[in-house]
Amino acid sequence: MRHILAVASILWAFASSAQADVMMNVQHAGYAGNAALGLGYVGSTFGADALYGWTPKRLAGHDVQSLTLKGLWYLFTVGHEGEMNVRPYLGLGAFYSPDSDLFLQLPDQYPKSYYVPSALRPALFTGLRMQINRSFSASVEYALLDSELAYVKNKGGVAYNQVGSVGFAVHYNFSAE
Amino acid sequence: MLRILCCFILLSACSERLTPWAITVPGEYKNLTDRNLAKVRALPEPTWPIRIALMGDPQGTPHDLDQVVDRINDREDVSFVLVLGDLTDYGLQHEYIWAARALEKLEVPALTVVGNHDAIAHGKLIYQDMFGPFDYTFSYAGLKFVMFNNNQFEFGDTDFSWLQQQIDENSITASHIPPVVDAHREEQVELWKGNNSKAQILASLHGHRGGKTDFFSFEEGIPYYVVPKVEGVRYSLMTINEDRSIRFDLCHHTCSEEK
Repeated sequence: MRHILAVASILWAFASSAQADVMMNVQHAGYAGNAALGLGYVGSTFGADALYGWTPKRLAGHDVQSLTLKGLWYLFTVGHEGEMNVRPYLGLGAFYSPDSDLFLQLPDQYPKSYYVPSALRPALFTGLRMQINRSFSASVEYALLDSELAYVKNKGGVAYNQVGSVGFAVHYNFSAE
Repeated sequence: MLRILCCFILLSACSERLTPWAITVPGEYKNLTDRNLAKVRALPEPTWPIRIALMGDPQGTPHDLDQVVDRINDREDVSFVLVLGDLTDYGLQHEYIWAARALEKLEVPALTVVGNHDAIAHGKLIYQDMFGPFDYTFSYAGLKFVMFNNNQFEFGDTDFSWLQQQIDENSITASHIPPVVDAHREEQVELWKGNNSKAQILASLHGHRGGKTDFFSFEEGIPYYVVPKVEGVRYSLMTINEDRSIRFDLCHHTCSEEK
């Protein structure tokens, strides 16, 4: 929890002084963690989010810290920009966990290309972003890991609710004053 | 908008996973090895020949694993199933749960060995919590099944001394990696096969090769059998006769003996 508070303070200081459309994001799950904090950018077509997430041992079996990076493509806007609107999106990104049991670079004992990095999980995202007012927006998002694409390729055998993770996020735009 | 939000809240209740690297195992999927060994002990008195279904490497094909389970359930002559490792591709919690859910549908006991992919990330911890020890033995019909971990890239050198202490002329051994020189060094393979020959074990069973067909060799009177990857409805059948002769068949919709 101390990590989250420290990250929140840094992000708040950074985002509040930013001149561009930088958002402060708070997210729950969607594989990003029980609580995740970060910065985001939203343009007319594209956007990006970076999050630091934390899941306590009580919920994950061990303390998990992770970084999430997402590139988002806003498909269209229902409503008017700058007012209350809904924007569906698709995204591509990855989760990274700096855990000593995981690796980015294959350890020496393995033959070349034996495994893909275990500390990095590429993912697909889809979601809806709802602009509530000039300062606040909220998102609901569905994240599907590369490891879960097996379900898509070899469909059946696994119930739909055993695949992917839904997340909720709130975004605050500092430059909307 | 409210309707959309309600849909997502409902969906979230079903599929809220916090992190890809969780290691928690639901209570109903803990200690599966012990629970299945209890089922083996409760099996009725065996009648010869004994048939044991074999499968390996079901990772990445959850639907096919489900189909193989259905196919084995259609048979009435299988005593139990041996799953020869690699239940998962990345050692992740959700993959383990997919595999456990599928194997749970089997009407006969299922015993597993750990595969190299099962040990990636935090997979070792999940495997131990979900299944149990990496090395264990059990008996059925006077046969001793020796299930052992030989994924030495992930666990360090295989403990062949433990294996040597377990095996005798009534033993059938099972591990993920076959005795070929890739994960093992040449001297280890020689030691392993030499111990098997001295003990005159009945068979040595493996997965890992991931091919479309099975691989069979017969060395110094000992059958070394490697199952192909679970795909479609493919599995293998080991038939053990009272005189301890063993036959292997590759099964799709029918088994090779029925072709």
